[in-house]
Amino acid sequence: MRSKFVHLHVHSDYSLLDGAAPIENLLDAAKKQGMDALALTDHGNLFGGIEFYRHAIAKGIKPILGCEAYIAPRSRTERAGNAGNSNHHITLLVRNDAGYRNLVKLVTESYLTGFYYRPRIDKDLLAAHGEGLIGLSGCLKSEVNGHLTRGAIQEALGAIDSYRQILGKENFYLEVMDHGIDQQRTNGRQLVEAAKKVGARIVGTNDVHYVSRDFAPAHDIFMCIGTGKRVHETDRLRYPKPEFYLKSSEEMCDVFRDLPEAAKATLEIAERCHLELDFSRRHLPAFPTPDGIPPRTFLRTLCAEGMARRFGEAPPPAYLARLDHELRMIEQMDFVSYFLIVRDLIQYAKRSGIPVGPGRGSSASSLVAYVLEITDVDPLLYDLIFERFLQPGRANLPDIDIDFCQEGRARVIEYVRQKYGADCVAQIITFGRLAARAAIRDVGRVLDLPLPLVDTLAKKIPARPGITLAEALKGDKDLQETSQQDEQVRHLFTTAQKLEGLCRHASTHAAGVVIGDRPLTELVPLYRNGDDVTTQYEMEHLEAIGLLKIDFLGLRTLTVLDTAAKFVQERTGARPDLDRLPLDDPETYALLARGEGKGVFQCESRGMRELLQNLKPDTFGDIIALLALYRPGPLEAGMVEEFVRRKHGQSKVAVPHPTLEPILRGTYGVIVYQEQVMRIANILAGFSMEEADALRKAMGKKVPEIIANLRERFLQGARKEGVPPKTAEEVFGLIAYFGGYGFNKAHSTAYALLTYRTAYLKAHHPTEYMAALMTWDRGNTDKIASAMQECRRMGIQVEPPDVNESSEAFTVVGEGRIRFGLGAVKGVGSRAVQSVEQGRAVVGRFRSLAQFCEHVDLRLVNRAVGESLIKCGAFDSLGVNRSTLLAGLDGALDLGSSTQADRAVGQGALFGDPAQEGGAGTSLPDWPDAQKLAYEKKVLGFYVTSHPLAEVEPLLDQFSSANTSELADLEDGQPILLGGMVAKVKTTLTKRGKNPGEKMAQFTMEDLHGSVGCVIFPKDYERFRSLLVPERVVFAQGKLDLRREEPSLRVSGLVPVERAAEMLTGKVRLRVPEGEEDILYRLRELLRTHPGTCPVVLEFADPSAKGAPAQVRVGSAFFISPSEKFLREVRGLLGESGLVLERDTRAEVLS
Amino acid sequence: MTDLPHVAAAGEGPVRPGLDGRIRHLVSIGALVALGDRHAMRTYMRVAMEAGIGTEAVRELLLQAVPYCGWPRALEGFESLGAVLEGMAGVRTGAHAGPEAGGGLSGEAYFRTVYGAKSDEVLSRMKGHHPALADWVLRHAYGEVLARPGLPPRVRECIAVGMLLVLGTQSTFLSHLRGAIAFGTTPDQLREVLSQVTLHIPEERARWAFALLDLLPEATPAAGGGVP
Repeated sequence: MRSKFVHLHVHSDYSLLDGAAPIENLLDAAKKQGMDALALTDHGNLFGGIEFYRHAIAKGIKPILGCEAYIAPRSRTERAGNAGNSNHHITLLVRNDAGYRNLVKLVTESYLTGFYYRPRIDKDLLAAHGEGLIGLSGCLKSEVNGHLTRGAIQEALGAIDSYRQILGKENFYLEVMDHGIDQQRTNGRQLVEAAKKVGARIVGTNDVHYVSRDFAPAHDIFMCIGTGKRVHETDRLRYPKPEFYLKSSEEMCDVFRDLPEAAKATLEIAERCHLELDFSRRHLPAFPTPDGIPPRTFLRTLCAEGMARRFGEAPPPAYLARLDHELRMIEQMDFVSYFLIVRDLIQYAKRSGIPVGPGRGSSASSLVAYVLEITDVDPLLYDLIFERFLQPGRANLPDIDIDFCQEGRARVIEYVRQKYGADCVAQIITFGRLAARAAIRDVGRVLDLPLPLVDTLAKKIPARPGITLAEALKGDKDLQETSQQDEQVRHLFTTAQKLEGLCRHASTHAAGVVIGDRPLTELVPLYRNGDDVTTQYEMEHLEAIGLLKIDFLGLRTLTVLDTAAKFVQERTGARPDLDRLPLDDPETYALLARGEGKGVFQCESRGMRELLQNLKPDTFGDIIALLALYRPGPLEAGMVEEFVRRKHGQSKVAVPHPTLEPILRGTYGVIVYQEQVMRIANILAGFSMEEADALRKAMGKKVPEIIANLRERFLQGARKEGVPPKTAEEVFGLIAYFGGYGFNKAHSTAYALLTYRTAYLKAHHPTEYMAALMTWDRGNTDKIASAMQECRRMGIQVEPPDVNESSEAFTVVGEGRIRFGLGAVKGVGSRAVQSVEQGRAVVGRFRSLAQFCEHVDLRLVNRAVGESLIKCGAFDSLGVNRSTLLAGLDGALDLGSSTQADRAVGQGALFGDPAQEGGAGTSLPDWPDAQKLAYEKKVLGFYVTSHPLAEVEPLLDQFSSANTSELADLEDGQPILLGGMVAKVKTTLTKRGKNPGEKMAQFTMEDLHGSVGCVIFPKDYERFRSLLVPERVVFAQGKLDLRREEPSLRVSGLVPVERAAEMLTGKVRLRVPEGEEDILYRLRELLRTHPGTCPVVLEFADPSAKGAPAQVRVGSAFFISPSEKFLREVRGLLGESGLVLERDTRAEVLS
Repeated sequence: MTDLPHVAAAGEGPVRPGLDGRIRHLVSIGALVALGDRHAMRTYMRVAMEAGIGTEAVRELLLQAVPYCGWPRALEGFESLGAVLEGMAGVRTGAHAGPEAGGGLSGEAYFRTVYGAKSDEVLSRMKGHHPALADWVLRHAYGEVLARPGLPPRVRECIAVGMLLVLGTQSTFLSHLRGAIAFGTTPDQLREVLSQVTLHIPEERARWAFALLDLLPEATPAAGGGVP
């Protein structure tokens, strides 16, 4: 050792909300100070173990793994005491491989069996797994120091003795610290005495929690974030001195200048600790093949069978060659078992009726995966490159990510547990880190800055995932100035910048599952998160230690597809075979070309639906490209427009070299996919597929130096292939431009299948598809409202629940008819629904309310439930109106319960058969429609039989720039005109501003798609208050606010619906039917009699013909005023569809 | 005699003010070729040539009829012309080619003048119908026929307007109405072109054509200027 001191008690930020030092920073600081070794001893865990080990080795620092463990006073299973007295601290360091394996077991057990406030071990466990560990007696919270602080010397000596016995005398050191705290000094002197007495060694440590002294104030704030306190509060946990940093060797030697052996002992311990982790081995479980057939043989046999299944007995030679190439590569890289394991679990899922996705990620490039039915994508058909997935140069395991139906995912994981042993399977940990915005908010709160100020500042940080404060400041001059506006704000920003990125909490990764060839506790420490057992290492570190990781993702779309197929089968007797749909179905493409993407996988957003209309996809290749192109990069780079233009022949398809023609043909000469970049490099410049993959990666990362090198290599290669230098330059330029935005075609292709399948079902089985969609969206009111709106547009009737037809969820009750489920009624639980279904099974069909009450369990279907069912229309099929039913409910309940009681004692119905009585007594007039709708809304959360806005729907569509379901896809601050119904108006008084105490309002706007919160400030409120009445239908003009979780509108003006056409029309479009010549003459006269300023466009269209109609924007002498009279007369002449009003797109129509 | 009205119309039309009489003659002949009325066609041809319209101008018009009316109609026209010339043997016909010398424009330039900003869209739409269609229109119809020097584009467009109005193909009529304006024909002159054809078409269509011309912004004075 060159250094004079080694830090053996060090916390990183994996000591969650206590340590504030990222591992990388600790190691950098240690390196800078010339330290040869460093320990990591996080509180109770090994979260950072592998990360620390690998980075330390990379920096030439010897890593000493360890943990500041919690030890229970007695048994770890005994749960007594409080957070303060139910555990002691002890510092454990790994001396060798056995020690590492023991420490892994100890921290695992502490979480799995010893957790009480903290993950705790106990002395028995330590005794069983103490080999290879060095113990340091610990900080002031240790058992030994606890006794010393209380003055219980004998107990302290007893504790020391017990640890010496457990770990071995030479492996237990008495740990002294000096952070300038009196108690530490007092105890230190006693520890030195004790050491002499028992013959133990002393070791000096610093309880490192952050890297440098100047970080102490930020660390203090970090502690406040963790404990929910404010910095000025006195009654809170705090570190008393700013000494808890990574001091230099000199500083540490100075701390222990009177006790030099304490510093010396650190070197001795560092020398004694030597751990070599093996990153070369893979812990893939061997797949149990039938009859012990060698796995390679088994895989080849399965592939041969799969080939025959997919391609018949004589597969094309190209496929046979590709299969052999892939198999050789898989065998050479020893991934045979991996494929067998994945195939097996997918087979299990398919056998068990759990829908599996057609593929995900680059695994769709593999023919082996295709023939094994791991994926559903024929890679040769779509020119997918195997090397994009697997190649000899790649050391890490290939990634086969699998989508399962959301509902079945847990069952597949359970299967894997059973097959490979529960102790060999676990989920994976992931850490939540303090993001830029959250850092501003948290630090602002701790510093007690005014909430509105903090809120304003936080909102200025773009809501982009992964953005740092430095990036936000760099990109926003205004923010830079704001961040410097006063001392407080400056302090807020500097502190938040120090703390951003630190770990905050641990949780379970949404998809990852790890499978080991032995109990995982032999390889990786485990953590308990609620019911989940997860690894303590994050994904990338698990791969490093050779563990197989599979992403099991839950994908709702698969569940929807499955449910829709079931509905179709129930109604028609034949289940559509989604795996074998023809990919050239004209109706499916027509649906997409019309932009009817609602409910279609990945086509939901407004932008995508517009793109669909522009592109008018008519091949499967177009859908693949769509999914690849609809991302921020290609959209911003203008690639998408270019693609659309080229498809429609409006822009020239230029291919710089004839050899590229087959590669780029399918995308009209635009480089859309990474695979195209690879193929071009391969064909034009002679790159191997591995090199081509390197080029692909470099283009994505855009590192200029790497690109320059590859460019040289590309030009040389192209020269050798006889390509003119100018052409090669041009092609490389194209790759550099487009390639950076290139997307993984394998993934796009697999996902395009899902898009196609959903669109196909929507086109051919619209009722079943929409019912399935609503079934799985039933927890989300806005999504249901949006789906109901789509149903209305499609002509599908969504009917209220019916006790005679509904089950719990949505049901298809006929062509174009969907019934709401009884489960949607507020207050009606699954058991009540079951009771209704059981009753119905007995009587066949309820004929009266009394009969209903006689046959359901009235404890489950009580009065409140009965009332809700009546109000939402669930008894409409009895032929009695809702108000009469409600009036008769109590009587029916009494009758039902007495009949049930009679039946229980063996008597028949004393008062005859209630079914014959018609249930309720005198017939009352029904409620008015508005009241019925109001009740439906109250009980179901929706208007079902109709919608108060249904009548004005065409008007809302014509003038709204967006509907409520689309707002989240738009830009913050965008001007919006939204039509709907005012609801929930709440007026308040302004608190700040120029004139505090002025009236303003918050209100909700509801449209057919959902709702949005709005705010209107005093000046505008005063102007438009007469329109702010619940149920008033208006158009609200304002700006979109996306800075909170839910979109909202800052409204600046309102237009009553009846004046919308007059005030909001920017242009009138008149469709003049071709062939009816007299109409134009009459139309000219009509235009003449309504002069105004609104432009008119005539469209001469043959409605049956494709393509854009001929258009004439009439001369200004024929501009009109779109009054009610004009609109009426035009409709009279041209029909409803002959008139389209276009919204005035000027930003502020009302100003 | 049956050809009296035609003689009267053919003789009367060209003398109205507002449009060059020679254009009137050609528009009428074009309309009758489109209509396929051989008898009237011959009468008009004879009257036109007696009024000094050159044989070459009529032959150019008949070539133009190939893309607009189809070669069977054009052929009928040529046969009629042959018969007229035979009957007029010895009579001196007009020596000049037509109302004025023309040409000098490429087929594509001609096309783009007619369709203006919409040219690419129109081409793309045609390609969508059939790849050969766009090629045929640009190369043959515009390149080999309309761009010929025998008649100036302004006159050809007036003839086209007449033919298309007879055929009743609304969107191409609209396009060439604009094409005529783009080549310098005034809306008032176009009204005369339409008047020249109204004799040969149903009343509704005539009203439709005039209404459409009125509504075109090119034909309408700025707001407040009143409607003719």
